[in-house]
Amino acid sequence: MIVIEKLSKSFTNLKVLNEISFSVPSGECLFVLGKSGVGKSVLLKHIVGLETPDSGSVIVGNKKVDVSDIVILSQIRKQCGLVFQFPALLDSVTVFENISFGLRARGLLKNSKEIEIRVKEKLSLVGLDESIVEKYPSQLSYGTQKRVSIARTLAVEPEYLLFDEPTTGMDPIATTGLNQLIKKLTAQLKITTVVVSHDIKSALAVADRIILLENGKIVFDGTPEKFKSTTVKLAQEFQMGF
Amino acid sequence: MYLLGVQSVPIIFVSLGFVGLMMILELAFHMRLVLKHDALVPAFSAVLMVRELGPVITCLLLTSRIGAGIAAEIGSMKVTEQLDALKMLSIDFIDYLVIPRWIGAVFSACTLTVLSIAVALFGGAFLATQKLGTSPGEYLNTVFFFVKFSDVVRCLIKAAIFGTLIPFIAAYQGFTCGTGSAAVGEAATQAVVRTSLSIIIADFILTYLFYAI
Repeated sequence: MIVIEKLSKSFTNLKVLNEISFSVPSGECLFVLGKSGVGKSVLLKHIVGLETPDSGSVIVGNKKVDVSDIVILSQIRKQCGLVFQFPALLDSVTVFENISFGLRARGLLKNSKEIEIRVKEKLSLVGLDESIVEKYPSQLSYGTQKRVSIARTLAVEPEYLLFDEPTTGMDPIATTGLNQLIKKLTAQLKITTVVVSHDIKSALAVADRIILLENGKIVFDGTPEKFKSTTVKLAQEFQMGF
Repeated sequence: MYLLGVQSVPIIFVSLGFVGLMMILELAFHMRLVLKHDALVPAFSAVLMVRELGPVITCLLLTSRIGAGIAAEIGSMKVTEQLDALKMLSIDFIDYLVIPRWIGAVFSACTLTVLSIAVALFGGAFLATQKLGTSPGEYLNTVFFFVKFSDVVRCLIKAAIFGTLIPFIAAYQGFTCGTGSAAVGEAATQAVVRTSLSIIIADFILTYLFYAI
């Protein structure tokens, strides 16, 4: 379970998050929607301690995220997998090394054969075949890089999956594939998932619950069905855009 | 090691070779002017090269080549969230990004300093035989007489310290880089400026400690 309590964050004079509170029960797939620059990615980064809040708290599992406590932070990060807005693959190493990096660093798998099997399994899960394992990120298209970054995150088998704009730069077929993957992970493996996005189509197709952010506040919190019928102006604008 | 050291060889050798030639000409001119003879030109040029110019010029050139590269590489990794990705994978990016570059830079700085001094002395010997009428044997005898083993050791200590400053200052500039490509460029520029300044200040401090106390 992820609990966010009265979380506030400002950058210079701009208050991006203003006393936001919500929780994500285990196994739920939550979509956080909002216009660009509303603080969705900032919110996500607070969950794994990549941003420090001005006030408020974030609890992951039963641990409070505290950037000054390296041990706790490391434990939380080991529980979470974050798929970044950009693929964020390491340029200087191959796809295989990118995906296996976390496995080796965390000591999850030591046997080379097991690592190889895990890498291929996760590549196949995101719809990629093993022929790309020896390629470097610069040799891949943006969409493929993005899928490799998802495979890298899935390789360490996190309890919490966090996606930052996962479908940006992906073609419609890959987007549908990713949506199905998120749905499968949530339904079968009971992974708690938080997806930050402005892709309303994906949100309505995949989410168990949707939160809509505007001016640093939550203006909607409910199921996709409720989202379709809400009178919140921004929610209606999102649907009209779709 | 290949990127940091081997690829820096041409620029450092060419530069130090010409520094060696220039030093012979300058010292010969001034010694003739003041002392009315130039017999000690090889000795002075060799001592100056080993104690000061060798490590300083080599590491300043190394800074312009690899310092900017390290800052830009780490800066762009920050901008594209690769550093955050490393954090998420529990990878200590000091271990992963800085330590290998530090080892490479120290090794490169020491090796290139020794080799570049040899190139500069070779250039000096060539010019000395052409312009000063000194034979190569005489030139080398004078060099080995005046340059002490302790000078070489201190030269290597300087090179190792300068080689340490380069990756650490450059990496710091990369880690603290802002967002956007302009910030990456600024980080690279700042890395070169600050490292160069640090090398010059460190050189003064080390020279003072080695020779003035």
